[in-house]
Amino acid sequence: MSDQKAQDLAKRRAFETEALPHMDALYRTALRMTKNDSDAEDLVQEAYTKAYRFWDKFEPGSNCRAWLFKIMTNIFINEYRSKSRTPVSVNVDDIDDNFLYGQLAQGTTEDDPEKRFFAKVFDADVKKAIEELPDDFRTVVVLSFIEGFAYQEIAEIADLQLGTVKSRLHRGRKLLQKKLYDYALRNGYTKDAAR
Amino acid sequence: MNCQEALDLLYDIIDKEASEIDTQQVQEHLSHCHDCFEKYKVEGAVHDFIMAKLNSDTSAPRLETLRSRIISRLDTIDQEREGNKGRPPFWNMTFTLAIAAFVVVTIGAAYLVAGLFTHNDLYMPLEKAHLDATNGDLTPATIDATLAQIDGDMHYQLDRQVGSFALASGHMEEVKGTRLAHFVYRQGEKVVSVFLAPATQLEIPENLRQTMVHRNGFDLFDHNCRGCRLVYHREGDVMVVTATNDRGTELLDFLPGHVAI
Repeated sequence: MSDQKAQDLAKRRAFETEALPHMDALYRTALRMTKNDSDAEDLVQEAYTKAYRFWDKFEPGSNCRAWLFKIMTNIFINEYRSKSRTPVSVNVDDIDDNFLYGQLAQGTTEDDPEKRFFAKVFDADVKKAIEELPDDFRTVVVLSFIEGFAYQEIAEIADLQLGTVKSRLHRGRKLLQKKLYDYALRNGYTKDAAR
Repeated sequence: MNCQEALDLLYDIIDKEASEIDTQQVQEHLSHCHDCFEKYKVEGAVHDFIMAKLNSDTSAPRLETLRSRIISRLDTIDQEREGNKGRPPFWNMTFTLAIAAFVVVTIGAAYLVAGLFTHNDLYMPLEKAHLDATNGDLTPATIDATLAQIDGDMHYQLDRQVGSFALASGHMEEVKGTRLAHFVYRQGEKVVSVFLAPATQLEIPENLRQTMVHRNGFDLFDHNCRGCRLVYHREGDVMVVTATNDRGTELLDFLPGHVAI
């Protein structure tokens, strides 16, 4: 085997050991970003294809997971998002800060009022609430909630200012809380049932 | 620290982004402010609730398929790179040359064409044999004799029916100096070739060696080339190669023990 071939093989091995194990996480996020299985698969596949082509640019020892998410988020923003861009129909600023606290806990004597509320929110509701967020908010929320990236990491991944990350996360949370509350009401949650 | 200051840090604290000093001061504030404490408690619970719900799913079988799709893309990239390295600087002119060759052919220089075909022939002989069988006459008459021969020579038995595919022909054939059994399965327009030869005589081509995938305990060499897909698999002393030019057909079904689920 020639030196060149041995090098290529080593490169491929390194990619498979370092990059491929993050596939589950990328797919999980892609699924929430694109909202469907087949787009999510395509997105992850595209991300890996691009990552492999640019593997020489990856600095060994740096955060491979964040690097892969940056590539994937970039593809999502440029190629997928534009397909189904929907304007924000809810005015986030109309929703109070700590919206759920206001609805659940204020003026009640119940201990842990949130527990009764959670019982009326189903898995599918949470996913739906996330998917209904506008793309810009959803991307940031998913990176934070599902992947646990730090604000600074999200800023680098999504190519945003730190302040924008924080504000989108904050507004995303408000929207989520409002939606979850609406779903819980629909599922039969009543504010004062315990009394 | 007053209530407003404590609440401004709420999400920073929940997301573990706040500094140690801020965190301490908030804790101090919460210890004597019931309202803020309740807000932190509900917000924290909501955060944990959403996190838990969102992290509860990922379907494993899908991921397995996705993984092999990605691996096969990496293979393609490797092969492209391999190809680029071997190309002479004037490679971009190949297309132009091919057209030129075609023109020359039409005026009678047939030997050039022969040269072009030799390339295909060298590159993927079994693919060519498959396409020849697909386009040419199938020879059902020799099925029994060929089945008997592989059973006797290689102790290998083949099913006459694989799913809705039926064995349509079988004969011994010489491909690039290797004598092998060539069976063809058919289901309407869909055609699959199964080649069998002793592993000592039919080797996995050099350019496929890096494309090994491991599925259900089997080592497979999975290759997509021009219009065909080929899977090489070694079963004991026998090399089994399946080929099809129909993208929708699952080749793994034709391997011994039915590798596919």
